[in-house]
Amino acid sequence: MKALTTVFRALGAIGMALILAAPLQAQAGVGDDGPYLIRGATVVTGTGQTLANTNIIVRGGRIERMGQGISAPNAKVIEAAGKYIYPGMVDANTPIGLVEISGVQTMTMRSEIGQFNPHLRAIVALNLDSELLGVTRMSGVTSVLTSPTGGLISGQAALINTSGWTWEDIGVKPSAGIVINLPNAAGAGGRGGGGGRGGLAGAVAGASVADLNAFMAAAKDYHAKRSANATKPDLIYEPMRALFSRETPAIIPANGEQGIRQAVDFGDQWGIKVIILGGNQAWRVRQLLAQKQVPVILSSLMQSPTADMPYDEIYAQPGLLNEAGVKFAFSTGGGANARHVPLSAALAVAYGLPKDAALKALTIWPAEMFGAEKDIGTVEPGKLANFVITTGDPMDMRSQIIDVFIKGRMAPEDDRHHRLYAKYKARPLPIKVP
Amino acid sequence: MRLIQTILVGAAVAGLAAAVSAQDVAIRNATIITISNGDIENGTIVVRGGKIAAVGKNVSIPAGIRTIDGTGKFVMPGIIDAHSHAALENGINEGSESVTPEVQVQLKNDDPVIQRALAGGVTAALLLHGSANTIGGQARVIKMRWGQPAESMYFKGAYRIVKFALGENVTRAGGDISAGEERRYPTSRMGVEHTLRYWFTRAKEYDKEWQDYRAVAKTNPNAIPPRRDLRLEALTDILHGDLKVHAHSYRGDEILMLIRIADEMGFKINTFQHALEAYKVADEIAKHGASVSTFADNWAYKVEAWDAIPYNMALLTERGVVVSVNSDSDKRIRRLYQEAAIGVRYGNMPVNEALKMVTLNPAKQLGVDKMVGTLEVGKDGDIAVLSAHPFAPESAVEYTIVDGKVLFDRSEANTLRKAAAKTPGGN
Amino acid sequence: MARGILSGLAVALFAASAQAQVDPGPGRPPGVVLADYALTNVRIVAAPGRVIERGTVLIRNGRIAAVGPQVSIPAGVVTMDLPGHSVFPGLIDAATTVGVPSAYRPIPTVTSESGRGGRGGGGRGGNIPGLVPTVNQGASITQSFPAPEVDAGAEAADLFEPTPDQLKNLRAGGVTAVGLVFDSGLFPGRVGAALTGGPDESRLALRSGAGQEIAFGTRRGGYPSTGIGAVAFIRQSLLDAQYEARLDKAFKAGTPGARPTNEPFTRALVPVATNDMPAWFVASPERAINRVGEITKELGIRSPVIVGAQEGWRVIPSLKAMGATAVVSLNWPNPQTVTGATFKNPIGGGNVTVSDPAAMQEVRANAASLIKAGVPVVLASFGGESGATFRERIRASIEAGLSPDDALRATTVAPAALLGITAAAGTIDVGKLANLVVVSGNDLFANVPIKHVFVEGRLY
Repeated sequence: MKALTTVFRALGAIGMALILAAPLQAQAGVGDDGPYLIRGATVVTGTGQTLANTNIIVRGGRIERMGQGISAPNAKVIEAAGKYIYPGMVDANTPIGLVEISGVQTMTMRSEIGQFNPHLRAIVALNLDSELLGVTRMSGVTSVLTSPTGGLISGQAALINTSGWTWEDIGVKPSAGIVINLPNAAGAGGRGGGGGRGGLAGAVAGASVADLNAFMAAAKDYHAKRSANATKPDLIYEPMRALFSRETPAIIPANGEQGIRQAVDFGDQWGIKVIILGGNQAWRVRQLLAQKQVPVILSSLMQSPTADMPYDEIYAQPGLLNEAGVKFAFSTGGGANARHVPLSAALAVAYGLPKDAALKALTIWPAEMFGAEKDIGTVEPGKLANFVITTGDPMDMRSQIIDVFIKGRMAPEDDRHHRLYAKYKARPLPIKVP
Repeated sequence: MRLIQTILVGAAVAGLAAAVSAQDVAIRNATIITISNGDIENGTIVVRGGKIAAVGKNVSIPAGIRTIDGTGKFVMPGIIDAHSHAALENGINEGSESVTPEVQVQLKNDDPVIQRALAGGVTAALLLHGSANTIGGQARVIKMRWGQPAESMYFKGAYRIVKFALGENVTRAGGDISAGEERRYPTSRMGVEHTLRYWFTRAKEYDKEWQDYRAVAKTNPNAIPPRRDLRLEALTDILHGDLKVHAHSYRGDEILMLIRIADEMGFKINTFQHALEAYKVADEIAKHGASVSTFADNWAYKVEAWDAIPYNMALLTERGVVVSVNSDSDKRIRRLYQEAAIGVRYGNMPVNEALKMVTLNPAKQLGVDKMVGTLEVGKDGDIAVLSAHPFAPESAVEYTIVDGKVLFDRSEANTLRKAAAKTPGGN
Repeated sequence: MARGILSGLAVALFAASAQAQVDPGPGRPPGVVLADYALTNVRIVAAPGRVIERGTVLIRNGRIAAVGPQVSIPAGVVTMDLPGHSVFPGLIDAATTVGVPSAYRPIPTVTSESGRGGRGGGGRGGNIPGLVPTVNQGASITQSFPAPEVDAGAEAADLFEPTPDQLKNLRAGGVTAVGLVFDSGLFPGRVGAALTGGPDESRLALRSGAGQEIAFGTRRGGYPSTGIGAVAFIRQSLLDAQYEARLDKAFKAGTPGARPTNEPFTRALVPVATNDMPAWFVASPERAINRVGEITKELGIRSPVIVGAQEGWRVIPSLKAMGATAVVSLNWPNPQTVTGATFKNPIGGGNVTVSDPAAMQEVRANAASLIKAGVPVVLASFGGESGATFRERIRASIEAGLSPDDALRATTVAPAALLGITAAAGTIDVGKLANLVVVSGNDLFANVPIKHVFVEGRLY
């Protein structure tokens, strides 16, 4: 045991040293704006390329340049020889910022009363010092979607980085999608039932599809009139215009074959883009989804299969979807474990999803889903500097996350987990009584 | 003399070359993670009659035994889940009263979750009473012997185990009451301590009554014994160390409280379950001699889980506490090998130490470490075979073997791909 | 032929006049005057294996007065000539809840001005005296009587209150006597036996205290609230009863210091705990039956009765080790839910077969399998419908492999013995009550309606 303790302390010291070695001075707040020169890493760009021994210059929040041997005067230098750089990962559906401890009612303000709330914006209601944000970013998840729930139309979900000074600073796409809850789509659907998990089925009890369609018709009518300047602006209907102009997708919780078909049909009926949220049993309609180019946010691979399905139903589904040409992203559900979204990807890989597709599902596919592909999803010049420096594949728990860059700032290691770890690691060992 | 020796040796060999049974299996040319003696590259392991007969680099496989080609694969001891409520029936919490150690959980042997656990490499588990009671009911240690009657699944030789619980679940239980009724005691952490002290004091009195009776009965056969009380009897078993305590707990202060009560009453806590803040009192836990079984990854769902950190496992291990990682979930039980890997990233646990958290360490906590938990000759043939290193992201379980029987075989298993091939995929 | 018609008319006329209302006395409801009957030229199955191909059954004053190939028929007897028909002893459904109130009927309460609160039964088990300091008990205390689910001394026979329709439905299946059990509970009371008709329908109960019913239910508002708690509660209660018996013995022997509790609940369980009354455990699935085996072994309870036993064929060694009698319910479970159905899943799970005729056959052949293995069996409708449905199920059991003789035995002689009513029912023998079923043809369980039913000599 003593030898083990020594080994541990040694490894711990190395680990700490790695963590502390990189920045030249103690980081504070959200991290320095740089500029930075990161030297000598193997860069996995996320576009299919792996660039050996490549330097990256970060300035003004973005990747300015990438290449071998390049340099920048006055930049803070970070030596990354022998290390890897991956695009920052994305958890495509969480309540982070809106919800802190899910068991405490006052820390859980994710929904509003009323059925029709497209005007509600998650982006303005986020606690940016949420402990969940801190632990999430330190594990290399640099962006998350955070979404409201409840009613027939919950509101506007926001795609945010996991670090920022204000909500204006942290937003990547402040209005990334409008959450629409079709009655019965999120619940048990299709044969065998049981597909109800992971959805955001809010208070749709008592509300009907007819109510929703009536609202959609009125909103579409409003859109047409507003385009012709033939009506006054309305606070509630105005945000719906982005749906009909196809600027913003609808995010629709849907599980089971029937539920997903219902959601796809809803999109066709109203001429709007749809993202399926949940996607339990999406494999059953994968051709349809591919044909209509409807992407899926897979809500938690950590579920049990439906009762009469084989054990690997949830794990093997991404592989099947990929083969059919469906794009998807991962969500861990509650937000507290957003940092472990790469574990979901790892499970998918173990059960048949090619590694490069898994990486895309963690990075560029969610970016595309929410219309943010110009800003995040790959490590390329011009995009936001959202990436991680690691000792290996982030999906492999044996590799360490060394540094995290978000919007060009190196995130300081001051999250809750690190703080408590440092405190109790420093507790003096008990004195051995001879 | 030589003739007799030859006959004896011949008889022994003949005994060894016994008929091939369903409990014989071999895996050749794999990377064998023994846990106890390092990893063996290109190794072979042979199981006969349900027990490990040989493990090493140059091991010959007796003729006729089912042999699995392990080239490129990894072999490890079957995974042990030290906290599960899967496959139970007729109640998980006897929550009408706060102290109920006389109750015993019941195994539902035909629950399909057992099949799914096997598909995740799990070969044994501790099935526990829930956490609504300060002292709950007695557990079942089982092997995942799918297809057997319930009694045949009990892990013979394992500890008898009882569940304690501290904190929010206990103090919140009994919240739904009708007007005029009293809430179930205790409703605060302070009350939890009193409940424990009260009941163990009564148990000591009960124990003494019976000891006094036994002394008297030696000379007076007509002496009337005290009333046999199953509840106090179970508590007495705890005092005598025959019934081991696994205590659901979160906060550092309540963990320390239970250690001190145990010290005061003269018994030991075997294992702290969940113990998300155990890292705060690691030295005290180590000194008492308790171990910890925790989840790698669950926090922020209630206030007492707020200070949970993924470094818990590494910190505890550094300070000398035996740590296992458990599932407490039908879903997590299927990928416990992934959970154990979390200790490597958070806290730099050496890989073999992290793997112990789902093999040897839970075996110790359940009292079955002489039988399972490592791959050594003489131990049970409980084995998981994976397609890559258990911590590699692409790793999936290929075979799960219990007592030498292959109970999960991925190549033969019903999978989504097979099921989906029958469904065109919709249009 | 003409003679038959004339006899039929005579029967009809006489039957009409025989059922005339007669005033039995001031203030009492009108009763029914019995006629005496002679069933002639009928095939008589007095008991399994005792057949008279053609004979007469003479019923007088509600009892069998004579049975045989040649019986002299006295004057004043209504003759029913029944060639081509058979007469059997009336069926006994060994365990039904028809007419018996639920074990979870409302708990009676009484408010009194003073006095101590009662222990045991009814209230919350939660807070132990001494643990929580209580103040201010108040002058008025609401006292709960034993909750029905733990009213061990309650007699099903005393609580039997069937509606006329329920009795009619029973008789429509040829059921002339029933074993009375409670639907669930923990110690809901004692098993009884009753008739399904007769001249005085306010007095159908025939036997009480035939057994002590024990079920793995829960207690409302208290301990135990789960099935796992129920097992501990049952063990402790029986241990306490055995202890009580010991104390009682010492008390009666004058041993100084002996002090039985005299607690009603414990007292009521002394007979079953000391093997003076059979224990009737409600258990159908395999694991539940095995649990009964563990409990009876631990407590030394001999020859328990297992009510339900629907998965009995899966645990024959356990039943035999217990020396159990199986009261096999014909209210069959869905084969997909039978223990071990999921063992047919493929490796990796999923795709449980929707319907499997072999599994259905196994379920239906339960009684036959048990009898073949030497387990004593009686049949019952427990949990399902009695009457005509019960009879249909018996027919289906025969189709599944139960021999007609065994079926008859398990619904006449054997349940009569189990319920302790052999002196009155179960066979067609002189002195027994005239509980009879007449059908056309030779097969009681054929798909033909019951022709006539007699209960205690009254023709329905």
